Amino acid sequence: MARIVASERDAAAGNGGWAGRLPPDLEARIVELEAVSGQTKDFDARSWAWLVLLGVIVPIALLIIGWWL
Amino acid sequence: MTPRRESAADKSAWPLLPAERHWGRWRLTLALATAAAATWCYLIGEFVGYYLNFFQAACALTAGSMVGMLLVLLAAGPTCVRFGIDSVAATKPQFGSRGWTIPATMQFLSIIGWNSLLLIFFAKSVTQLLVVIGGLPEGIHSAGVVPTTTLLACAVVFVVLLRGASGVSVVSNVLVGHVFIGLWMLYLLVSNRWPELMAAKPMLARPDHLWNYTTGVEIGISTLLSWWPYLGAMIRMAPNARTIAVPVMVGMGAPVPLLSLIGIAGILALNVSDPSAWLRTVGGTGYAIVALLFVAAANFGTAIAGIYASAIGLRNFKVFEKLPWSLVLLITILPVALVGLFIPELFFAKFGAFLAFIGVGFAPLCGIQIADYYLLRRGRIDLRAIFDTGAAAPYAFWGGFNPAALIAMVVGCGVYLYLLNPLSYESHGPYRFVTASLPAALSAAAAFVLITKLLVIPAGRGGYVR
Repeated sequence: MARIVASERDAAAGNGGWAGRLPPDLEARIVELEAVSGQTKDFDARSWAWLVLLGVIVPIALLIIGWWL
Repeated sequence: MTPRRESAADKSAWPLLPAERHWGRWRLTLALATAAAATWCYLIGEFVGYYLNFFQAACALTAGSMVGMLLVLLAAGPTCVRFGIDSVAATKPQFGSRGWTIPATMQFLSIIGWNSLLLIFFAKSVTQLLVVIGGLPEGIHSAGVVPTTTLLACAVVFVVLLRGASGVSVVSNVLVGHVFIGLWMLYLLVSNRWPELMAAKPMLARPDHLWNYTTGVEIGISTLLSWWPYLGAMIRMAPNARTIAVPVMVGMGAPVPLLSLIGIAGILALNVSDPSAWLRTVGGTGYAIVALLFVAAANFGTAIAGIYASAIGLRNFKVFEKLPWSLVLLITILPVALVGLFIPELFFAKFGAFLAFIGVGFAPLCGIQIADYYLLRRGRIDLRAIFDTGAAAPYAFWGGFNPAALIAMVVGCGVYLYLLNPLSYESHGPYRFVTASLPAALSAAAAFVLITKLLVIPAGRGGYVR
């Protein structure tokens, strides 16, 4: 995704982006992470299920139980 | 990837490559649990125990804590873990290439403030421990011992963190045991004082029971929102978002309410939340030693994680980017050492108020980040722009600052302070139905979205896709 954003911007700028302004090591890291294979993924469906369970359903259940105790 | 480059990566604010992120679920859970569990747990428990009985306090605090943790994770989590960056760097798409210094300042003040308190607590516990085991004479004045012990603790933190994130991990593997000691202390108190615990009336409970219950939830939410500064530096060591969801929610979200039960039970059954004070009464000198060791270990683990996160945060400033890691660490620890050396008692008495107000800012900050990532950018973050400080860079906005974020922060903080005074707990309006943190986050998010759509996107700033 970031690669797409960067590519669109670079194309619009017509100058190959900001390569050269950043320190070489940082530049190399960014290039590697901009590649689709270098990026890690956002939360997957299973992660979202855990987040909804632990961050929404469990708190609501606790609030209901606690109110009646 | 050379070994030298890899070993230095976790000591900089530059993005970590997937090959450098080797903290699995368990390692992350242990590190987060060690960071989360500290003396503040029974102080938090004490506050909730002022308003609610044991079971209600446990339910309200746990519910609030899990909601707070979810907000922090949704705010900082995706950007930090996708690109291997810390919480502060993750605010650049919202605050701008200079505006990020606002969350960075909040992070520095919050972490340094809290860790000064924790290390003073640590020093006091060590002093008490030495007295209990006969290493120091009874009744010795702490004025000389506390500064010396705080300095010693700072020196040990410095040495441990010379290894970067691996130092945090190694210490967590050892110190996480204190969580189980905490649970044992809870069992001891509950089993010994069950009748008193059940009969206890919360001493500051108001006639409005809904207000009491909401306050228990609010304390949980606002406490966990204070983990925002810590989270990014820890989760960026994990390989992907799938690895972090459960460890963060369970490892960082659950220990606080769980160990806060000690404080709730203590304040309700014995009118004192500090286990090092009541364990001597319940179990004698042996138990007191265990409690003091618990306090010392808990605070030390948190301080290490906090100072690491703060040092990484400082690395985002140009002036700190190229400095040797040891010097950045020294600069991060120095304020803590100076506080412990010169004004430990004054700091202990007065700084809590300042920290309470700093904490107010994290709810709007989370609201802004969530709205930006999920609603406005739909996950499209430009990593290169995060590190580009040029005037024409996408995240330069206007002079490096995004007015949408600044105004939204003011709106969110204003809403919080209108609904609840974090010092006196005086409340207004619909606080009893909605808490203060949730409306603060929501109003900041709404203001951010509105201003971005009306001003920032039409002006072609911020790298948004029109």
